[in-house]
Amino acid sequence: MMTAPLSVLLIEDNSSISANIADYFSQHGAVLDFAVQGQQGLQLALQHYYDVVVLDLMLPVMDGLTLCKALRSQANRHIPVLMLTARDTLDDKLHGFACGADDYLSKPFALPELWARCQALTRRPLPPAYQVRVGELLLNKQSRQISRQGQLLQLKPIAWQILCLLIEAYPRPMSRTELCRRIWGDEPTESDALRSHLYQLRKVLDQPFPKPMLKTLHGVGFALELSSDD
Amino acid sequence: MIKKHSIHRRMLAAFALTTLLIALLFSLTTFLFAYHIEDRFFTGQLIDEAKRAEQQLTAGSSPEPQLAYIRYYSNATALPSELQSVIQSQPNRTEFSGQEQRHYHLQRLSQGYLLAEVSQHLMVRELRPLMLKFLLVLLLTTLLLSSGLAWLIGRQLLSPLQQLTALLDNTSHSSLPAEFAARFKPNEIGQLATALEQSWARTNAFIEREQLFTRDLSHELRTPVTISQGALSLLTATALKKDQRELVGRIEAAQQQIAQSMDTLLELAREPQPEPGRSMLLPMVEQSILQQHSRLAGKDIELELAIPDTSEIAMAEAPLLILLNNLLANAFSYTHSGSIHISYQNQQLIVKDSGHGIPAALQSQLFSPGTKGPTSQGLGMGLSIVSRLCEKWQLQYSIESSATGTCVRITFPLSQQLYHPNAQHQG
Repeated sequence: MMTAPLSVLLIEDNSSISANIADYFSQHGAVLDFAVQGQQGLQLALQHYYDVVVLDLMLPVMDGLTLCKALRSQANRHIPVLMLTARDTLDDKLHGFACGADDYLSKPFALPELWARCQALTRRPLPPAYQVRVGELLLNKQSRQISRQGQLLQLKPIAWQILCLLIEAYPRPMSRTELCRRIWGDEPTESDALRSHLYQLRKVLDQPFPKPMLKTLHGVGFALELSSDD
Repeated sequence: MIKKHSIHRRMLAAFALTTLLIALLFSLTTFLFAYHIEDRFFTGQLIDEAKRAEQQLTAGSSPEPQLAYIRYYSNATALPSELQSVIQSQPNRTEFSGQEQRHYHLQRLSQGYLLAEVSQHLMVRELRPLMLKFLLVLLLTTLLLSSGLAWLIGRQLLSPLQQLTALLDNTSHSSLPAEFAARFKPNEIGQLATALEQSWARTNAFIEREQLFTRDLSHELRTPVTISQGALSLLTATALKKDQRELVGRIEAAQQQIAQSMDTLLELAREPQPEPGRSMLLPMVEQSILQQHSRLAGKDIELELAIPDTSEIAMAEAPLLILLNNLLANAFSYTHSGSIHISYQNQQLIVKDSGHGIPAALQSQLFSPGTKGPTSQGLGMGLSIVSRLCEKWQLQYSIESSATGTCVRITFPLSQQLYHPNAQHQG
């Protein structure tokens, strides 16, 4: 089943930040509208349907906090609002939430995080990106298959989960604790559990190939590494 | 302690003591005066009798005093025996106390003596108990009056001072009422209030400038960093050649360093605000290692981690990460081979490296900004920042360094109440 693309209203006066967000979001299939000042942003938000509003706080004509309050009092439905701001003290955040924000992200932020938060605000599952490619690796979530250089990798369930997590996180490394928590939750696990699964993953992912992809970072984290000619 | 040194109490005591002293001196003077008058009376009577006695002696008869309590003695041996020994040793003495409350006044004549035994006529002796009672009542009354007065004056003087103290105690720095000094009378306390108000205004103006500066700087830095970070993450997702990827990697590392320094310096510039929270230590240390691992690239270093996965720290995640990032960035940058141990036990985080240590000459200035070792590539701020962060969050820390390495120990409080005394625990 295809879902309609995520529609986003981006109210941000800095054109470079807007361009970055627009590029990233459209690559992920979202549709964007733009406003460069508060009054215009409020009008757009009230006149059209958006899944989420990404709102900068320092705006010409009408600032973001006023806009958010006005939107909450005038709109006939709850439009999820994510505030972007260069202010990051606890008071600033609390003030933002008091004005009706659903989420708050301080600058500088990572584009993937902004994207993930927008997804979460609209309560949509992550888009059905059935195929994800990282270098030689191709992950097909629908058929639950991962191949490297076209060769199908036969992975046990936990090893499959670890590789999926690393592919999703790429190029960011994941720490040991983060991996364990994502796989086993908060339940305590044996300290060697992860090690043996990683060993099995390496046997399938790296051993048959000339260059290993799974890299251990000082014993505390793991990341996928592409060979330089990828 | 305040009670003991209270100005009000000391004023009261001083007034009471002074009154007591004056009253005692007054009583003493009154008695001296009364005795003196009495003595002068008896001496006067004796002189009158002596004149008459001399006339009688010249006329060849034996003197016979008119007053019943005065008698004539023709020589010293005839005097009452209780006087004789005293007269031998003090021939000029004129007043004597005898036995059984007898009291004598003596007047020498050309021949013999006139002796007055005045015990039946001593007015002061008789009045003494009554006088003492009267003086005591007088003393108590004046003491009460003066103490009351002292209390009143003290209250009048000190209540504006107490008002001023309460005003300063109960209002926060920013919400102090404008022109509060005008509420006080233009006396010495009014002057104090004016001086306080002026210095307050200066401090507030300074704080406001600082806050504006920090806010502007924060905004002006965060915006371009956001742009370059976003552009970089878009760039890394495109097809890049090997040398391009290497360049992008360098920009990313610098980008991360700028973001980290910005967070740290802005955190240091802010007034400490209670940001309650608890963090699991191990994941935060792992995260910090992964953020700093580029500093270990190409070095032969063994990283050893001994942190129980149940260790919890009474500090919110964001400030803890800033502290760890600075701590580890420093250890990673200045260790070129060997090992780095990171351990946690008994509330103490220990980061021990086998770097070349901090030169002895630099150790004393370790915590001054701009101090750097011969191989440092940074701004020389690393350890200074670590120490300032620890001071800001009231964490105990120690740094030991020798030629074989550096060891930093940071002790975390058992609960955050220790480092934010006013903070409520908000889970």
